[in-house]
Amino acid sequence: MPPPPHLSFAQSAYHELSLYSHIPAARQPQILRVISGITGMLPETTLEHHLVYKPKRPRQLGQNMELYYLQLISIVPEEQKHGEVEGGYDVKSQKWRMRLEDVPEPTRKPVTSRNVLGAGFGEGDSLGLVDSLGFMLQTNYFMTVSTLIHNNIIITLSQVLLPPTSHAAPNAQYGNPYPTSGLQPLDPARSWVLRAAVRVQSHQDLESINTGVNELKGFKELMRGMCGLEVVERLALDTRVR
Amino acid sequence: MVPLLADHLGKCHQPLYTGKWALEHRLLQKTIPSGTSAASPTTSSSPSNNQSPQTHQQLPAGGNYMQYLDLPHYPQRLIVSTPSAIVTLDREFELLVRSKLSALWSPRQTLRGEGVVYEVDDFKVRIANIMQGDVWKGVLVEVEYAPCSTLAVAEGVIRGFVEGLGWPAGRFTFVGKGGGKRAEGEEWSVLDTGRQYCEVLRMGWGG
Amino acid sequence: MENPQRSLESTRARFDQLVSALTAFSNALRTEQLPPWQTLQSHFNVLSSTLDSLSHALVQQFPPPQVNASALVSYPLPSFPANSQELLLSTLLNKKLNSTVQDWTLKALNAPTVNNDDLWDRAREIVQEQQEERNWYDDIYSLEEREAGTEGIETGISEEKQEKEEAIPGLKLEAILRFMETGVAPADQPALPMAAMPGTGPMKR
Repeated sequence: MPPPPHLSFAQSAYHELSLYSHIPAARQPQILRVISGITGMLPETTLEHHLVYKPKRPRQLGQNMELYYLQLISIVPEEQKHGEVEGGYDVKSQKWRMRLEDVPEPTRKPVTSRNVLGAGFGEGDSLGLVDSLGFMLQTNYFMTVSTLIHNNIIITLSQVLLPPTSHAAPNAQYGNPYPTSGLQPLDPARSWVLRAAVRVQSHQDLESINTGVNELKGFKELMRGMCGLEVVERLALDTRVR
Repeated sequence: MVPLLADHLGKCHQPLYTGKWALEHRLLQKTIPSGTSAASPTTSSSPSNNQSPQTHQQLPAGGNYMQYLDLPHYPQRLIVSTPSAIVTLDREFELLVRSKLSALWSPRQTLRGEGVVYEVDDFKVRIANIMQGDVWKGVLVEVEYAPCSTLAVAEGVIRGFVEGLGWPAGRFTFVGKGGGKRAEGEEWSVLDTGRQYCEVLRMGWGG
Repeated sequence: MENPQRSLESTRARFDQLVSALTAFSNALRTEQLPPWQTLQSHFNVLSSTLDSLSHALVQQFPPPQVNASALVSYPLPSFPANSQELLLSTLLNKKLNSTVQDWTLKALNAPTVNNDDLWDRAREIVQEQQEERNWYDDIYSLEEREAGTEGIETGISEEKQEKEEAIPGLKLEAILRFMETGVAPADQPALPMAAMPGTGPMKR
């Protein structure tokens, strides 16, 4: 079943404007409640599976074209009551989406601004194709994401989770989300990442970009006192290899 | 060539003309690391029916190429094929590779097909002229048999139909997932059609 | 002095109180084993407050410059049967102190004045000695608690404060984001260029 259209990862190619805030574990429930109140909706929470790929070939000296990290993302089906989904988790039969986020552009704008390209897989061996494309798996991780919408802003509250390391099962290098109770936060302090983002069709559409920037500024003001939405360090979002 | 084939068709059956169609095929090659030389491709200029021209290309070990196929009967997606995998992907994939993976992949060949579609009983016959730029590369015919989705059975039916048309000799392609060996009762998927097109349109690239 | 009778009466009552407090305290001190310090402390408190209220009352009801005990004069009312109770009358009217009491009074009146400062200094010295004898900082738990092997005591401080005290070192936002983008574990992430310090906002080029 395809994910509903407003969910973060369903769009293919866009320019993203964003602000981030780091939320301590203890404050996450409160922040979620507050934003839920502001948006007048209940958050939609999903568990995402992320596969981070790196180009197999090292970058040639003098080559002026960049190599990028590539991600494959899918939504993990909900666990049945007894902790196991029938047949377990089959990484190969998941519906994957390819996503490449460009490094944010250096800008004077009070938001992070970056291009995002993506494409959803239909039938066939997605993982095999990415391998043929010249990529190899670097890491896998899971992420619990709660999504809320405020006008044009997509607000996500996420926590990166790691599966227990296992070498036994086939395809173990891709990660197994079950049982979900075994997933541990990447951050020992169990903090969350809050992101407010606006998607614009084209980075050349200055009017829409301005509208987006202003909406984000407005939301930042709304959240002042609760949490600080900031322009995150540009290079922290750098997907260029080396 | 197209009218000739269409004529033949008309002689045997009462084909119903249902419209025009077009296809696009791109082939990309893994960029060779600088320092390794590559032989330049030679293309035969004489038109032929689906016969592979004598094309030789020195490719890196593993001979890596990738094909995109844009077919009208599967409009929202591209069929993407490599020697080891074939998938359907959103069209935006083409933009992603072109703008962000240019360090890894370079376009090598773009083919366009234009032609007509006929319906004959349960068969759909698509005929198209294949062009590389302004150069005519040959004629491609696709015969689709709708009622049966089991590959083994359908092959027999289609083969019979084609042979009965008396067309000039051409290459008949009916390649399933196993590349010839077919699993019992294997069902058709769009990937099978894609696989066949890619095999044909590859025109011998990558050996 | 408004009502000498009433004043005398209430003063007498307070003196009674004082006597009983003193008696109790002295009894407590004379027991075979000294009672716990809490008991002695409370006796002392009682004494101290009794004395305090007594001296307060005395000052109030018998203002010093005006009154001198010896100036108090009592006399029988006409209704007193003076004829039949002559002996009793003279006993009652006698102001002479009991000889023992007389001695005490004289001794107290003639005793050298107490130097309060000296007294307080001496008290301070004693307290300091006691203080130095004990280790206040190293042992958080009492001997009793240590013997019982107490590991920790719940003091009832709110959870939030406790969490702050036991702050687990967490990852910075940048480290988490870098992991999300590149899959490189925080421990393996090379430092970002100097100019890229967190919180500097958009880079100005």
